Amino acid sequence: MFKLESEKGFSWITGGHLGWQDLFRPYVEASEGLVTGPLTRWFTTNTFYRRPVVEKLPALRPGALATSFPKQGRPLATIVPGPYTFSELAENRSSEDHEIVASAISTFLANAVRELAQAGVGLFIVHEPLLVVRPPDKKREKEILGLYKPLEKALQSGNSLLWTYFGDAAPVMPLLKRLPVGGVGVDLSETRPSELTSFVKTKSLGLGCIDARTSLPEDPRDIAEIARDLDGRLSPRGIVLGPSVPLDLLPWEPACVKADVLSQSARLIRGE
Amino acid sequence: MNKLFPTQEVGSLRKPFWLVEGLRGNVLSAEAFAEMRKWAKTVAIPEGQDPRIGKLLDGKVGDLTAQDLREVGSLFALRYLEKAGLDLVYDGEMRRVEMYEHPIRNALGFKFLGHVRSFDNKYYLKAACVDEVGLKGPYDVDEFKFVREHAKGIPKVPVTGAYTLADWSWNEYYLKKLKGWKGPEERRTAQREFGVELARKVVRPTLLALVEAGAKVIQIDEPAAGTHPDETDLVVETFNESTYGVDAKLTMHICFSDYRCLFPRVLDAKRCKQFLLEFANRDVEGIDGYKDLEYLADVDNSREVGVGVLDIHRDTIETPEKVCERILKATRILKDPSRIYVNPDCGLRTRSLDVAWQKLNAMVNGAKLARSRIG
Repeated sequence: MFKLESEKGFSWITGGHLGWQDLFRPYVEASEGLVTGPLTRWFTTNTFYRRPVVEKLPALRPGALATSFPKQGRPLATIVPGPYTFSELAENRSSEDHEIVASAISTFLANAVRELAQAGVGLFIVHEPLLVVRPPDKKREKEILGLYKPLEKALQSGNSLLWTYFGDAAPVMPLLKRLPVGGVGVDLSETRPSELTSFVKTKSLGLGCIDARTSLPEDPRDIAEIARDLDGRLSPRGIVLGPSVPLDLLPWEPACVKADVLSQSARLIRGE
Repeated sequence: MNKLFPTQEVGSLRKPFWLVEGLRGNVLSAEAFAEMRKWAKTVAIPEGQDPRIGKLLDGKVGDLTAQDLREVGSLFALRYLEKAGLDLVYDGEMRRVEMYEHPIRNALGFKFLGHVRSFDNKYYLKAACVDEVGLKGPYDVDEFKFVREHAKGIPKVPVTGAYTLADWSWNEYYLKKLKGWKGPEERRTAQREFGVELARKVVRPTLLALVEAGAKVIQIDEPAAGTHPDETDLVVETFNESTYGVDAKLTMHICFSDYRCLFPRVLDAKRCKQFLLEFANRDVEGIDGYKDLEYLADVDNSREVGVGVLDIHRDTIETPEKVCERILKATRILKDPSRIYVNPDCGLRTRSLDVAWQKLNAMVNGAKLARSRIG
C-alpha cells in the first residue's frame, strides 16, 4: 500500500489502514475504559463495525497506537474518528452523563493525536460522517465546538482535515467552517457542488470526488472542472482531492483505477 | 404449527473441513477425518444411510464427485439440525458458496470484481451489474428436491431477496442509463429499476420453480433491508414483485438493522407471514436488546415473528435459561405466544460446528423451558 500510494504521487501516504477492522477498533483497543460492543451497520453500507462501549472514562494506553505507523520516508497521514461521531455512536455504559463521556472521548482522541504526531504522523484526517448524516441542531452547535476544544491544540501539531461523508455537507457548512481544523472535506456524491456557496479563505476545501460506493470510474475532466469552479467561487486556502468515502468499500483493482483517476485529476488541475 | 415456540434455523452452517477439502480435490487432512467421524457419530448418520458416507469414512474421497460431496454435505447438515431438535430445517446451505455469490452466479448481466469487507476481517466476492439482468435458469430446485426427499422435519428454503442482491452489487448498467450528476435521487431511481428487474427476472422464476418442486415454506433473506432507511418502499416492492403468484408460506429474514426505519412500512409486504429478526446481538449486559420488538407489538398481529435468541458473532454459549428468558420477554411484548418462532439471529456459518451445536441445543432446550413456563 505504501508503495502504491507513493507511485500514484500522493502527497500523504497512509498504508491503507489495512489492519483496521473498523474506524474505531484501533482506538478502542488502545484504550482503557472502552471495549468492543455489538456488530452494527456502518451507515448505508454492507459493512459493519463493533460499536464502542464506554465502560468507564477512556484513557490512552501509552504506545499502543504508534506502533502501527512505521517510518516510510514520506509524510504520513492517518485517520482519527471525530469526537462527535465517536461519542454519538458509542454505547455509554459508564455511570457518567453523555456530555462528560463525550468530553472524555475528545480528550482521549487528543492524546492519541499527540502520540501519533510524535511517531511521525503529519496529517490527521478526522472522520465525522455523523455531522452530515445526523447534523446537530442549532442548540447543539456550541456543544460540538466545545467537543473540539481538547483536540484543537493537538491537531495543530500537524496538518488536519475534517472529512464528512454519507451525507450532504451544504446545510452544515456554517458549523463545519468554524471547527478548528485545517480543512473540511465533503462527499460530492451527496453534496451538489452548486449548493456549496460559501467557505473560508483560511481552510482547505476537501473534495470527495472518487466514490467507493460505485465501481464506475469517474472522469478526471469532470473532477477538474468541479474543482476549478469551487476554487474560483469559494477561494479556499487550497483544494484537496480525496475519496468521498474510504476506498475499502471497493476491491483492490477498482480501487486502484479510482486512485489513478484521483492523481490524473490532480495533474489536470495543476495543468501538468 | 401446533406447538408453541417452534424452533428453526435461519440458513447457513459452517461447511465441514471434509467438504471444503474434498471440493478442492485435496486428500483429507487428519483434522477433516476427525471432524467427520465425530459428527457422523454425534448426529447419527449410519454408513448404510448413503453408501457415499462409507466411502468418505474410508478415506476414498477421490471416488466421489463434487455433486456427491455436496449431497453428503446436505445430508450431514440436515441430520445435524434434526438431531439438535429443530422443527424447521434445511441443509445449512452446504451446496452454496454463500448467499450472495450463489444466486449471482446463476444470474446473467453480472461481472465479479473482487472481495470487499463485510465485517471484522471477513470479505465477500462482490459483482457489478454490467448488463441487463437475466436468469440462466431457476436455481436451488435440485437442492430442494434432495432436502425434501431426506428431511424428517419441515424443510424451509432460504432464497436471497432481490433487494439484497441489488444492494450488495454495484449497479453500473442501470446507473449508466442516467445522464449528468448522479446524486442520491438519481442513484435511487437506478437502484429501483435494478431491484425490480432482479425480482421479476431472477428471484420470482426461482420461487415459482421451488413451489412447483413442492416447497411449502420459503424464507426470503433480506439482510440489506435496513441499509437505506429511505428505501423501505423498495424492499416492499421487490418482495411483492418476487412473490407475486407464489403459493407458499413466505417469510422474510432481516438482521443487523435499525428496525425503527423498517416497521411498520415493511408490513406492506402483504404476502410475508413472518419476519425473522436478529435480537441477541444487541442484547448485551446493561442493554435490553429485545426492546425493539415493541415496533412490532401492535402494528399487525397477524404476522409471526422469528425471534433471534442466539448471537451468531460470539462463541459464548447461551444457556437454555437465557433463551427461555428471551422468549418470555418477547411473549410479554408481543402479547401473543402463538406469533413467536425461535431462531438464531442469522446463519450460523460464522461459528464452528461445535459452537453452533451447543448454541442450537441451548435454543431447543430454552424453547422447551419456555413452553413449560407458559403452561
